Amino acid sequence: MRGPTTIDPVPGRTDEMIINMGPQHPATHGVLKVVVGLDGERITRAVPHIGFLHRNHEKIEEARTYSQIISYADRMDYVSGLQNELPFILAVEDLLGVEVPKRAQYLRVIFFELFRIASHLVWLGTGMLDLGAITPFLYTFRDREMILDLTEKTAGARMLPNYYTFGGVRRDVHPDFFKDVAEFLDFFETRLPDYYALVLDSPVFQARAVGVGVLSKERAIARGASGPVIRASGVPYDVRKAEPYDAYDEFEFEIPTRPEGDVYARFWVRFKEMEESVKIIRQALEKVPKVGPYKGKVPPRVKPKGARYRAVEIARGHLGTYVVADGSEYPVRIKHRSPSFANLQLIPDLFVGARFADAIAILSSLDPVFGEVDR
Amino acid sequence: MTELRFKKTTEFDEEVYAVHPEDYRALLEALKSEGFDYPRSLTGMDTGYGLRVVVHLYGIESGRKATVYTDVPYDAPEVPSVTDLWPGLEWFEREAYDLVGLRFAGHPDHRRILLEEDWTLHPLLKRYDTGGYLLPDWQPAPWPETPPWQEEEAAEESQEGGEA
Repeated sequence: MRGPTTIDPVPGRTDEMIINMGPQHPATHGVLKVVVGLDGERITRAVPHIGFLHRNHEKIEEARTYSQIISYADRMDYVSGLQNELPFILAVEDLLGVEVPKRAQYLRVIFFELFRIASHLVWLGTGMLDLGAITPFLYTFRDREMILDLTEKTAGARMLPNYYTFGGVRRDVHPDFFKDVAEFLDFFETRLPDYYALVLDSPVFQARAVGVGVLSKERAIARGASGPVIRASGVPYDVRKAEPYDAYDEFEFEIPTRPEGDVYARFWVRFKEMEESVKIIRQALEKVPKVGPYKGKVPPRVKPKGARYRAVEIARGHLGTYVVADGSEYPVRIKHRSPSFANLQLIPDLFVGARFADAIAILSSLDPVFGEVDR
Repeated sequence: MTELRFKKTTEFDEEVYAVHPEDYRALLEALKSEGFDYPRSLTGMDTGYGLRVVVHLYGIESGRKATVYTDVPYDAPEVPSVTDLWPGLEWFEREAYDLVGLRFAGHPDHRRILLEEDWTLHPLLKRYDTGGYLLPDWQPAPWPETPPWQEEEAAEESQEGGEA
């Protein structure tokens, strides 16, 4: 049994209906349960329950060596798998004092942004499925498949590539890699106008999204929201700019923000982010050193000492990893601060007062992935 | 802030505060008024001699980063809740309670979050192995003579491994 399956009715009120949304609801993107109280169409109360996908990564990781942990980090946010490896690797590199060669930094950035596009495409497809539009799903998954093929050609795996490693990347890229990426970008840029026409510019979508689920700037900061959610509320907080990692300080890109804080703004920010990612990858393809090591010097046995918190901006927001190491081969404690976990705290804020049908739109605009919420 | 018992160091680009558990909330209130408005994370961990709570903060305007931590003994694992300062730490405190067993006095919704309500273990304690069974020969380490928040040159590099 998991928790109270219901919330207590208000004494004296018989018109409030209490509904369990999830954990097997198709629009909860996995296994989220929200117990909602309904007054007609309006939501009066909302209590989220998480933990249905809990594996206790953090305990498992205490019994693994540092190199083994990288592949566990992949499995948190499986939609943008590769991005999850980075904060852990950056933290350990800091503790070891490892230098990452320029070429490796650029390769990391190219893959990081490719996975951001891939993740946003999954979000766009499934998010629109929630809203009742089937067409975008078919297009976005075709485009995402091209990114996964690129990854497979170099890293050997599609979704969980285990490609980053301490000091750089695990192996050099496929000889055709840069040509393939450039071709993909050319193709993807011809697709983006279609997505605008299908989604953002569609009056049907706008009717469901504009003014729905409004999140204020102050609430977004206080609740620790991050990623497109906080940027759609007018806070230009992006870890890539706030504390640049790898070579991000060498690229020119903008942080798309919008002041409205509604569902439409969160969709809009993710669209613009895909465009910015294309810009970053194009610059990286130009600047990447064509020769040079893809991995720096790392001690054969990784035995860091100390404590370090590092954060990166994955597709969903601020992903941080806190590593506490005692100089042995096994960590003392590893804590993953996942963006969806913090963003889901907004459910009571955003659901209460909204219509029940809008709750689905709000949830898909938060874009949670339960692999990382429950870890 | 002079009367508060804490020790401030700088590690990499972060300010690290080790603070006495009784001054934990007072220090965080002071930091909040200094402009640390964004809660990055809250971690509960088992140090071998007690439980530690680590708070990571960030200032959106200033770009400053701070880490605050304090240690409490196993038999009184309680610190004041700071969810009223940063509502975003509400679930993080619940998670620290769930996985490590820390209690947060004044938390508005002090329940387990990831594990089931009727679960009895706090799985991230070092006395359990990965299967959740008690390790037969696990013994807590003695409480350090110089806790992390005390200035004492002689014993600064004491036996605790993971000093944050």
